[in-house]
Formats: sequence, structure tokens, C-alpha cells
Amino acid sequence: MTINENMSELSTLLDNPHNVLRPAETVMKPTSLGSVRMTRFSFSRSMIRRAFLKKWEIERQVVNFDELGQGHIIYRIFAEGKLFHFVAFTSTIDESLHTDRVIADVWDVTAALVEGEVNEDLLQFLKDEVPKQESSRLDPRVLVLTRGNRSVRFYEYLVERLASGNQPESKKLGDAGYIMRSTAFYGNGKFGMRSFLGFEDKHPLSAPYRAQFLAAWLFREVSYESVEHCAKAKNPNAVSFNSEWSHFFGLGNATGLGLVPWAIKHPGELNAWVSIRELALSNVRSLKGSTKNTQILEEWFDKAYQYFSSLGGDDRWPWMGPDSLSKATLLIKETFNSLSGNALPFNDLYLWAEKQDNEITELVISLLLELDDTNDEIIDRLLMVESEKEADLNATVEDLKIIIDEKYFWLNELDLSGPEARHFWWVMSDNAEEPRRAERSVIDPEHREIPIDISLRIDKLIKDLEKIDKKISVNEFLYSFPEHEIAVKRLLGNFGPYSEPMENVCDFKHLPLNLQRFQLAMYGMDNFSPQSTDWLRVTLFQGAPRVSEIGSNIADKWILPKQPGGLT
Amino acid sequence: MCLMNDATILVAPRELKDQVERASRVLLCEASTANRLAEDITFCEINYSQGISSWLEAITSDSETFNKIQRSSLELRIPSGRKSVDINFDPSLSFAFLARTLHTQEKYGITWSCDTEVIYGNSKIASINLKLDNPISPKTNQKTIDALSTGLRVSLLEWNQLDKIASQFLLSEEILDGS
Repeated sequence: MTINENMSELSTLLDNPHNVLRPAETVMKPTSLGSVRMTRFSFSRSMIRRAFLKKWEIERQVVNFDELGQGHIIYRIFAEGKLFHFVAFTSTIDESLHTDRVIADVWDVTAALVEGEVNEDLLQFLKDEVPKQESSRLDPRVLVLTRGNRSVRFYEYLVERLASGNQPESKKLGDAGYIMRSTAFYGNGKFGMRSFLGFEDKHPLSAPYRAQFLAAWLFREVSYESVEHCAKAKNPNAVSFNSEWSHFFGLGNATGLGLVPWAIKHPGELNAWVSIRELALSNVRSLKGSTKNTQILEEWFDKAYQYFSSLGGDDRWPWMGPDSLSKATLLIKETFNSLSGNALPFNDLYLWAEKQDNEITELVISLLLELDDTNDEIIDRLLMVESEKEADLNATVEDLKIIIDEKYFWLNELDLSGPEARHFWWVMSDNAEEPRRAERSVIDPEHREIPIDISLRIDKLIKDLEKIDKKISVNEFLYSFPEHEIAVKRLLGNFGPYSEPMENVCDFKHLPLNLQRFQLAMYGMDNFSPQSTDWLRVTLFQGAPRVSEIGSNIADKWILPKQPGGLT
Repeated sequence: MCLMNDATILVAPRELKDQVERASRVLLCEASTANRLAEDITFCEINYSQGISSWLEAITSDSETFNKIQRSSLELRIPSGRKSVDINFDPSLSFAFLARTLHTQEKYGITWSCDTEVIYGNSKIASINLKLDNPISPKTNQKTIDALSTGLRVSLLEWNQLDKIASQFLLSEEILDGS
């Protein structure tokens, strides 16, 4: 199917009156987006399901580490008739050079996912280029470029424990759920890599972010291999991680402001990501109560409770922390027990949840969505959209006004005229092209502003449209007002009901964490730990199966793992 | 795979678009205009080549001509009530700035013909005739598919010139950290 056909399929589903969808003004509020949690549709989970369903073959082909874990490691992946390799170069850098930010010059691990065979020439090419990261020049054989560092706090501790024949101690690890932490997964044409739309139809990595999440899964493998290798180098009798610990650790990640421009610049993708959740919620809410579904949901309540209570910890502004979430999970379970005899118990649970704090609402939704059984191939298809659509500029000014009235009424609730509305502007730093925001009163944007001020642009467009005959074509209007083209294309793009976060990202009160959390949850990240208003730490693949387990019957229930031993 | 040689470099279409957009902003184009120019040049480079060279040539023209070039694709419309129109460009301009819009208009039933044969993106156009006709169904564009999957080979010299201007779009980390 073409992307246009996929987008049409999604529109048809959204327009189907049998689907009772939540309104955009509820779903797209910043605080709602900022409360979303991982679901079965998150990309980490759908990638692993696909790997297991299609029986991808992943083997460690080369391990060339010295006693400190320096060297390289290569995984060979044979997936649905295609061959890939994940090639990681490892070193040990001084602790002082570790940074969570995307900007850095050196890392403990740099790696690339490539399609095809890796011969000596390609290996040398990767060895030369991959460690350079943003300064590298790659080609379309390379699909993903990534890097990260060992956990300063725990890597050596884990090596010592295994070398001395012991497993880690839960209390020493606190809330850490990773051995290494990544700071970027580049793909889609960056630095000359293959463009995402360059994957042919039926390619195993043609779903959004599938290549990045395969790379992340293998990065996690590298972290396990590295620790166990270093332990054995210290003591040939060192033990390996036991079954519980060998699943518990995920991959840490630190995420900054780059996610905000992405969300604003990709309305089609944002709509698709939200839509699949909302369609599934509608489906689950319509389910009648059954012993099977009740049992499944209760298992998830227990799993969530165990996860949060074993993690433990205070609230993490602006969000609830593990202690609060474990209490919330008990409350949700109790509430469901009182509703489980109702005709539509899942709908009733949702209706209760929507009256609670946003985080409880979204926690309930994430658990309810475990009952949805929509086929992954349909989901993959619905996610294949694009935001660079050609607009029909033969539309009229009147058409624009109708769209504004119907879809952008929420702009009236934002104060877009005061100085606070334009407090920040968005810019790219010359270091790693990292998006940042700057205060307009402190730094003049000159020619450098990233045009994600969509709310302000549409507000200005509304004012200029008032001066124009409503019958004239958009084309003619743009000839006189070319500065409105971004706003006009946004309106005519008709990206769907969930395409706009209902906020002004330039406003003084804008909180980047909300949009960041939504995207991270869609990726499949959890354990959200904000470090400021602008960046946070997260973990992914905690509890996930290991690549060697493909072919086993491990179900899709690996998320929310209880820490071995537990904390509380 | 030959990534780079003395004369050419392999780039991804999104890299080209990003760089033209940034470089156009550096040259004080408004964000909407920069975005449109970037789409125009990328489309042209993929389908006709000589997109970057056309952009580099345009930015050396006087400001009045550059302003005209920036708005040229917005002139490609048939006034209401008419079935065809001749649009003249004085001075003539590179086809690169018109190609994408002309191809898009075909989907809405507007066919076009130029006063000169279009071979490359830098073919100079002085006049275009637009005519209302039957909409043309969009065809699978193999050149775009190829560019996305195997990259786009462009002049290394031109790419470096573009890159140098585009780099000024970025703001110093020191200034940001110090603010």
C-alpha cells in the first residue's frame, strides 16, 4: 500500500462512528500528553514481537574485546530474508568526559546498524567514521548511528560482583535499571545514511523507528556482553548474570529538547501515534466483561504494582514517582474490583479514571490497552504516514477560515498577544546541531529561528485573513503574504484530529517535558526521571528478552519488571 | 560504494533540503520562503539535477532579482475565470524554482509548457503557459525512490559552498550557554 492509502485507511477508521474517540481537546492537552505511558504499541515492544514472530536470527559474530572491554563486537541479524549487522566499537573514556547531553566528542561505545555483509573494507570504513558520530560521513548502507557510555555509578560495581562470583545487590543499584546509557539514535538520512522512506515495502525495518529500536536492543546486548567479559577477564571463574538480572537491565537514555521540534514538525506522525492508542482505547471500552479479560487486566495491575513498589521513590516533579504510582495502582485495582461485574467494566474503569489526575488516567489507559488485540501489521501500516504533503493551494481563504474555526478553536484559549507568548525562540546549536531554546529578550533570533511557532503563526494568519476577500484563492493570498505559507500548509495538510499539541512552544510557561514524555512513551521508554524542565533520563528494554531467546515462547509481557530482590 | 570523490558526494535528500532551508534563512529569506525554496531545490536536484547550482547562482544575483526568484513559483496560477495564462519572467530564471510547483499543479488539472526545452534544473525559463486540463494521476517517481534508498550524487564543490552558508544558521553553543 502507498502512504496515501495508509493515511486514508487511518482517516476512515477515525471517522467511523462506531469508534467512540476521546476529543482532541482532552488528548492533546500538554498535561495529558505529558502523562502518557508505554503501551503494547510502543516501538520497543512491537519490534521485539516482530523479531519473535518472524523468527529473526541474531548471532554474536565477532567479540574482540581486551580485558577492559575495549575493541569491537559484531552481531549478525538475518531477518525476513534481509541481512544486517550491528557493529559496535568500544573504549573506556575518562569519567569526566561522560555527559548526558547529545554534545560530546568521545563515548565508551559508538555503533552502527548496517544492511548487508560487512567485509574488511566496510569494517574499516565504519571504524574510521562511526566513532566520529556527528562529524562522520556515512552512506545508505548504514541505517542507524548511535553511541553511549557505561554507567559511571554501576558498571565497575557490576563487573566486581560478577568477578567475585556474586549477583548484584538490589539495594546498591537503587532505581538504576541499566548498564550503559545512550544519548542518540540517528537515522533517516542523517550524515548520508539511508532515508527512512528508502526502505522498500515489506522490508523488515520499514516500520517507523524499527531500525533504531533494533539498534537499541543490540546496544543493550553489548552492555551485558561487556560487563560479563570484563568480569571474566578479572577472574576466569566469574559468574554470568542469573536469569532475573540478565533480563532486568535495560538501556539508559538521556533526552533533551530535540523531541519538541520533532513533534511540532511532524503533525502526520503525531496524529498516527495518538490515533492508534485512541482507536484501541475505543475498542477496549466497548468490550463486555469476561473472565479471561478480567484476569488479564488483574495480572497487569499486579505487575504494575510490583514494578512500582520494587522501584520505590518519591515524586519526580512534575510527575508522580514510584511510591505514588504503586498506591495509585492499588486504587485502580480496588476500583476495578467494584466495577468488574458491570456490563462494560473496562469502559466504566476508564470513565472513573478520566476524573482522576492525568497520570492516573494515562496509567489506566496503558493497562487497558493490554486487552486490545489489533494485529501488528495493521498498526505498522497505520503508522506509515508523512507530514510533507502537498497542499491544494486552489482552496480559498474561506476554506482556511472554516478549518481554523473547526480545528484551531483552542488557540482562543491561549494568550498569544502578550510578551510571554513569544518569550522563547527555538534554535539549533552549532554543537551537534542540538535544538535549544533561547530567551528572545536575551538573544536576538536574527535569521536562526526554527519555525515551530505554529500557534503564533496561525494566530497571525487569522488576523491577516480578516483583511482579505474570502473568495480569493490561497495561491493568490500567498502571493501577497508569502510569510504565511507554513501556517497555510499546516491547515490544508489536514493531518488529522490529533496532529496538534494544543500549546504554544514559545510561551514562557511551555514545559518541554510534556512533549518529550509523550514521544518517549511511544518509543517504549519508562522510568521517567526529569533532571530539569528541559531534559530527562529514561530506561528502555528493562525486562526485555535477550536476542538469544528468539524462538522461545516468551510472551509480550516483559515490561514493568520487578527488580530482583525488590527494594520494598 | 563510492561515497565521495574529487567531484561528487552522495547525500540524502533530507540533508539537501535541510541545508538549502538553513542557507536560505541565513540569506534572510523568511521561514516559509526558505522552506519552499528547499523543497523546490531538492525536487529539482532529484528529478532534473542542477538544483544546487541554480540556488548558488540565484544568491549571487541582485536583491531585486533574488526577491523575484523567491516568489516565482507563487506566480504559477491561472486566474479565476480563465482557462490558460502565459506567465513571463524578466529576467529569465532557472527551471529549478518552478519545477516542483508545476508538477504538483498537474495533479489539479493544470498542464504546462515552457518557452524553451527543459533539460536540467538550470535551464533558463522566460515564459510558461499554464492550461486547464484533466488532472494527471500522480505516478510513482522512481527517481525519488532511488534517491531515498541509494542517495543523491551532487557536486562536492557546490555542496561545500552550500554547507558553508548553511552552517551560519547554527548558533554558537557558547552564546547559548552564556545567555
